[in-house]
Amino acid sequence: MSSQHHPSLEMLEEYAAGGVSEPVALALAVHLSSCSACRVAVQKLEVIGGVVLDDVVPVALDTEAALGRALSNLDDTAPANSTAGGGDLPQALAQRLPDDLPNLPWRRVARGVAEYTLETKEAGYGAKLLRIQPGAAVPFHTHRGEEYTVVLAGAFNDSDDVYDKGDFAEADPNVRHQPVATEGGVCYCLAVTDAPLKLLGPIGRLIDPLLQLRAQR
Amino acid sequence: MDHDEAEFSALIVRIAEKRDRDAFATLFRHFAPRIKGFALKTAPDPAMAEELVQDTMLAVWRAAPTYDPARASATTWIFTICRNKRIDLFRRRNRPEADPPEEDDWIMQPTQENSAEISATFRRTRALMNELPVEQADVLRMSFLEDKPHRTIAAETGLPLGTVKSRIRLALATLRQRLEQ
Repeated sequence: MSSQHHPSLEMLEEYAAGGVSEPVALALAVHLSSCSACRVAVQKLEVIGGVVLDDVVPVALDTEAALGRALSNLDDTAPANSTAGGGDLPQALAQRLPDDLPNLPWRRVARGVAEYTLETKEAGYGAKLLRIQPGAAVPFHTHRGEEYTVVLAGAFNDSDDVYDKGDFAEADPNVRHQPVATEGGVCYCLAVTDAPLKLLGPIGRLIDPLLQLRAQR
Repeated sequence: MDHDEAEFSALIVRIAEKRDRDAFATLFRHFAPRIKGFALKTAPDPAMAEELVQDTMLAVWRAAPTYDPARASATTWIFTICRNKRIDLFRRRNRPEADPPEEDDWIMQPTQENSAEISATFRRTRALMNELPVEQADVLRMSFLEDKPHRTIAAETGLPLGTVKSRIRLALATLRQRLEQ
């Protein structure tokens, strides 16, 4: 089954090239796990990486010494097989969670809506899971930077579109979003942002509005 | 430069099937200096670049049984390994990867013919990239060489983010259209 809502081609390029931030890569990996069309697109983009590697000006190294070192390290370790069951969730996400979706320590944020924050290693990016009860609406929020949402289970409606499992939504800051979970069941989503890191502390609070002003120019 | 990708593919298959150290040595002599050149674009120091050569080639040895010559050319496959190892080593984190598909995405079976087609696509992609407008090719190469987010490329080149994205989008649209001709 392929999804109906896909990431842009530029995002897939960023993923194929490797530059994409960790939380956004996670959202893309979740989408790709259920979207064969985008997996094929990424494989085609990786050919560009092959060409770029092939065109690199080779840099001399003591090849025979390096080869000797490599040969001495060769072993017969089989490649890690990543097909082990992670329940319904894609491995890339399951391995970052301490428990199954229903049993995570959810924090209520609004009527019918709870969230769980994922740790990320890159400053300035955020990733969280959302649990939305059937019929509940995610409270309106402004977007600083870009925000991407991928559906893990259930479905939500937003501006006349339905987003099902695996669908990838890119928030347009110019559009007022009001995602509402469909009546069919609880909707779980992964939402990631690449908004600039909000500065904390007394000095941060002083600087942050200035940065925001500058960002608006 | 104008080597035959199919020869490298055959070497990887020999590693997979026979754990052939000579095949590995041949691959190593070709790829090690290229991986080092690639690594030096972002490596914190030359020693780390050589570490990336070791990590990548060891992973090539281990992952050879998963290599499918009907799906990717040898250099493309080694690029993906190198890209992932670079993220592990230089950024000290894992790359989130999609689950392997349950049934194969590709109906094609690995045959001589498909393998030849993969090599032809590789050569054609290279030729087409050289025909792209310079400003588009530069941004695309920078993205793959330096594995930086588009936002960072924009900051470093002084280009607006929208321009970086549109150049990449145009380059990809042109490549896609011409590859299908």
